[in-house]
Amino acid sequence: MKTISKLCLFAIAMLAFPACNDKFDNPNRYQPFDPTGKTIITIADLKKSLWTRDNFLTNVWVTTAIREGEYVTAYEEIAHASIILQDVYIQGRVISDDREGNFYRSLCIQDETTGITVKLGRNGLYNFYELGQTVYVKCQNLVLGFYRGMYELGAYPDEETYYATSYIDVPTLFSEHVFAGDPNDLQPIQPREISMSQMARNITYDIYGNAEIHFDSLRYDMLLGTLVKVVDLKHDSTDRFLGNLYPIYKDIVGSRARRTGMEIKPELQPKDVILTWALSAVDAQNLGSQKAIEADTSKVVFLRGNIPNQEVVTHALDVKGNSVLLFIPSTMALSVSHYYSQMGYRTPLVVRTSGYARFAGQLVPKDGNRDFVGIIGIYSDRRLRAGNMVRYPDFQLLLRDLNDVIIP
Amino acid sequence: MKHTLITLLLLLTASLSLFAQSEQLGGTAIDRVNNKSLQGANVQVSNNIDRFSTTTNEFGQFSFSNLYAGVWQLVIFADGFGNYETPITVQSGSTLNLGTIFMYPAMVSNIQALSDMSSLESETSDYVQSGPALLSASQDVFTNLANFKFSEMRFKARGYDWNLGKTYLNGLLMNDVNTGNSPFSLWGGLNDAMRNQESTSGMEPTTFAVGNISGMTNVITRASQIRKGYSINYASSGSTYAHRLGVTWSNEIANDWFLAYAVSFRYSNPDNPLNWTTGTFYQGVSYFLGVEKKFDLRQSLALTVLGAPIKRGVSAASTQEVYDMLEDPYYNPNWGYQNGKIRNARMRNSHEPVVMLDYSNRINNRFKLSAAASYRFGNNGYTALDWYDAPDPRPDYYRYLPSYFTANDGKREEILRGWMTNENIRHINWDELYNVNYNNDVELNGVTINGNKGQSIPGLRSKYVIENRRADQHDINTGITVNVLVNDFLKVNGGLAYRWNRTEYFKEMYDLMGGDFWLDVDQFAERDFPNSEAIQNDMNNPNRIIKEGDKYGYNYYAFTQTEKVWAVAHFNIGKLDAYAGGDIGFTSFYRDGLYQKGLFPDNSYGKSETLSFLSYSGQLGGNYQITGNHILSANMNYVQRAPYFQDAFISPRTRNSTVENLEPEKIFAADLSYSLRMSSMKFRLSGFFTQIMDRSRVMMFYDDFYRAMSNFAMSGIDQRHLGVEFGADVYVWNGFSVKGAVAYGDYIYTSNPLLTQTVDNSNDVLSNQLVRWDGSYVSGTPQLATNLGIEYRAPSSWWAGVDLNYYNYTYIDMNPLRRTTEVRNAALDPEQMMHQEMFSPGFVLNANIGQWRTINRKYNVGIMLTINNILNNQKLQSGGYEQSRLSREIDDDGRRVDQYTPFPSKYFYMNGTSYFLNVFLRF
Repeated sequence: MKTISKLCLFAIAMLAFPACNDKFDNPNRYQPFDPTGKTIITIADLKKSLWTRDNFLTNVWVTTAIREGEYVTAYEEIAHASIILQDVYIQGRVISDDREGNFYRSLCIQDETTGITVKLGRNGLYNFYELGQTVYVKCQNLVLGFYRGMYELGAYPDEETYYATSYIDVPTLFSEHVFAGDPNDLQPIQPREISMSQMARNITYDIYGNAEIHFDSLRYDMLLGTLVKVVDLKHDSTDRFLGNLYPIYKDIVGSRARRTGMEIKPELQPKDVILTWALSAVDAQNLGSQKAIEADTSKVVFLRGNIPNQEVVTHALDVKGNSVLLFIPSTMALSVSHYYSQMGYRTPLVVRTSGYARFAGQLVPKDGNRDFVGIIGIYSDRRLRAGNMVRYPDFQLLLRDLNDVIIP
Repeated sequence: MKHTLITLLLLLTASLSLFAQSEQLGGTAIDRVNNKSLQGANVQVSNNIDRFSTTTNEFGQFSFSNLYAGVWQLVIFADGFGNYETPITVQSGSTLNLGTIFMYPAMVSNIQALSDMSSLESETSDYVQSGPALLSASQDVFTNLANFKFSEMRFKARGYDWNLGKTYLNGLLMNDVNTGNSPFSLWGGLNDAMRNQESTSGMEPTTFAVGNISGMTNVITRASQIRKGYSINYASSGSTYAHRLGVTWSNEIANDWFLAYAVSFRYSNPDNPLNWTTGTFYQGVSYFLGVEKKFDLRQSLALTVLGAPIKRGVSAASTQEVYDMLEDPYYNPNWGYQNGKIRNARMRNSHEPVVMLDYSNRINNRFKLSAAASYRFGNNGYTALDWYDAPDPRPDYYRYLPSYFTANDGKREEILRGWMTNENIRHINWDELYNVNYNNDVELNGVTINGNKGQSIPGLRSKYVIENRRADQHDINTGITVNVLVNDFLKVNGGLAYRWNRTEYFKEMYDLMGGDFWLDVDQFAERDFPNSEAIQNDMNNPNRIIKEGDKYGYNYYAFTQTEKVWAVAHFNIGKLDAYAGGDIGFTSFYRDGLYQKGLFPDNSYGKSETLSFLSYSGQLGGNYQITGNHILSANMNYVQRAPYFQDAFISPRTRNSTVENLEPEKIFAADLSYSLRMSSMKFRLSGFFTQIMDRSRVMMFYDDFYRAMSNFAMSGIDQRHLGVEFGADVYVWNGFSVKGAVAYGDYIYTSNPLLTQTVDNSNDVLSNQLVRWDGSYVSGTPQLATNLGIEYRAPSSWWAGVDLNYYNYTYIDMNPLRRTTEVRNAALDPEQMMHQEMFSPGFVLNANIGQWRTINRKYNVGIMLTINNILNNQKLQSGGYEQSRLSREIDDDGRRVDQYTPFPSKYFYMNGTSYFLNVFLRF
């Protein structure tokens, strides 16, 4: 009798406990940013303010380190920066998308005047700010920078660097400087159509020696950083393309050879090149896996996995006759520039893709005309002096994803 | 006057009546401190076959009347006293009166309770080690002290890994078949029901098994052998769980029917201010039911059902930078605030009941047969945050620390300010993780899902989730043991054992964290091989939509079978007690993949090759009684054991590939001891030598040198353990005792193992290199541990003690990659890269006080309070490991170059001052 009641107690005790499951309530949604009461300026005004000395920006500040070589010797000639002390905001809609990986750690926004890159320094920005969503940036204590022709908003530059700003990669700063607007109000910006002929005209120089191109009535630097569409482009498949990839290949294979004592065969003469948008880390690491390293070379393959019937060599023999994996350590994903031109115009458009892009390994359609949509930029690697123009700067287009490649 | 006379008469009558029966053995136990008779002491006599027990009456007397001629071992033990042991020879027809036996005080070592206290689990490297294997109340003076006193530093006797100890339940080996880990968590909290144990801390064999290098315990859960009556126990601890309450009851309920049950609750709140490590908690209820039926005087059949469902939040180590920044060596990166409540992302949850039937038959005076069969089943999981293409949510990820911003003072100040003031920086920011999921309402368009093309899935696709990594076992364990008393000089024990185990490994979606679904693809394969079948985790179910409770990621079975036969012969010739024995058996296992992994379509689905290994051991040893009290003993053991499943497969989550040239592990161990066992003084001095050869290990981590997620298989690991152990317990005078223990060893690696590195997403072999760590130290335990204490036993049954521990020569758990030639050559500072850190030595002062008494001759009540680390030493590292990552140096131009420095190591610190309270009531 007593035993049974004890057993009952025991059974009850057993059953009662496992149900003790502490459920956590879902946290509240963040509220969209409310700009009332904040001073909002246009991105154009923000850009202009970098060059005028009698405005609300103070402390013009230059980077300090000097670099020798084929590049300019004085950083202050390609980089400027200024810390913003006023409590002002800019706002714009997101025009970049790092979901596909081409805009690694940066956010590009565009308002009714122009666009700018915010170097947020965080992975997966699309998780927080979607394409077409309004974003507000509190500029106070951020640094407005100008680097090789492009404006950027970032954090205080590192010591001894030749970049105008550093990434805003401190976690506390994200929530203090960049604010998302209503996530339900997504209006993707429509790209403005431009042509390459217009890009090359009317170059003038400002007091600092920077190139300015006037396009219609819009200052050139107001076009940069915005979403554009360029039509009827043809791929430039001359050595200029291979010139970009080939030195990379030599570099990588050379470094691999040094590590393993592998013999390098006579230089590659690629006849049949398969083009991809960029080199992902895996593809860059496998760049050595080319039959070029063996005695007879006829094919260069940059892609593995997706394309059937491609022979991909993965091992080679080193000087001792041992089979060695052609895996190049310390190789990161590589950005690749593809050159396009509109019929008859000298100025090429470079479509530059990061090796971190998911579509990096996709094939580049070589023949026929294309239209491209993307964010237009410039990369000046030469100092352009008045009256002593060495070369045109490269106009670069950054794709968000392959939907930006329009085959008419 | 009248009173005294009656008492005397009663005494005389009582003592006469006791001797009236035809008994063979009797004696009287006296409490030496109070010079009073000791009532309620347990007295046991056993030989190889039988065990009889009784308790002393109010006069301290005990007697046995059903012994038969032969050599028996007598043990008297009582709470608060040191054990009294002696061998006795019973002759038929005559009576052996042992007379007065003095019992001297010894500390109450509530080892079982403390086993829970010290089994706080924490992450170490890539795997979790569970608590010490052997935590029974040992009769050995060194082990008793070492287990009790040194557990605060996770001390491992002789430097052996915990999975070298063996734990049996009713004669069946219960160690986890896949990892070798101790099974104590299967019955955590059931201390009083599991108190009946036969154990040894040394290498000698027992009645239930051949000798094991690191000792073994057999817990006997037959209802008739559990202490009759009620045992109620309450414990409270400042370090792990706040409260434990347990009730155990046992009795004979009908003629030859015995019943025992126990229930225990363990609970600790993560907000508990006494908890040194925030975010850790404990919620568990354990249950035990035992039923036994005895048939005639010889046979018994017992059923045991037990389980210990538990949910516990664990802590993780962090770097010295974080501890210094927060001035808190107990910082736990695993938790954050969600709606104001502490939520821990890493929880262990399990419910693995065991059902066991065991039968024993004492066929005659010389022959006993036992058989047992058990079934263990249930679920075992370990949760963690998982994320897809989103920022790392861990608060102490290296990019969120001030040390990451070496080139930028402003940013370093900024992040430091964040750590000190913002709890969302210091801890997991649950709110943000949920909001990322809320934002992700992009429809998946045009995807082939569940076989249908062009599907769109509306709803929120979770970017952050909580996964539960499960390892669910079905374990069938059987064994037969035979104990034979051949004659007065020879005993033979032996048996057969067979075990079958199927463990299912998989990931379960535990919490979608505000989202509606998760898409089951391999995000690392997606990065390397986008838009190909390689991204599928299960090609037979591509692009599967996962909801809470669904399996995803990986799913495979590990099938293991072991068969074994063992035998030991014990010889007793005069003063020499020697044994020789061995075992031989087979272990085989294979993997059976249930998902066809896109990266390895031909090598993941279905069965792998079956690996089989021969295992065996041979042992020899014995002890020689120089006099009754002085004993010399020696043991020698050679073992070849099969590797574990977890060390045989390169990447069992993804493929069937096995480690090449996998060797069984071999161990040779020998020791020599001198012990003294008198009532007032006990000590043991031992020297030992162990050589371990051909250990293997498999690890997986991201290699910064090759820039690839890699699997590492290490083989040919050799270790040599050499050392001395000393333990002493001396009754000095008037209630004072002095005790101490020293464990001093030199545990080193004696080979340069081979490290084979393969790429996780292609199985390509990247390198085969030697790991240059010959001469480095084995990690995980202080190689010098010393204890010295004084205890005082007052006449009115209370005691107090204080003791001081000193630890030194604890070494960090090494990352093998730092000792390869390639990495050493690429290191910025090769010496720093290869250096093995030694932790700081330190002192710990502990004290304890307690009392126990008997009320109304029926109720035994006791209370014990221990204060640990009175000096609040928070600088003692109890463990730590080198991180697997390497960081590339940045040159003056801001570019990364091929020179590496190691990431900072992670440490665990011993808790500051804390307490442990134990109260029991028995009647």
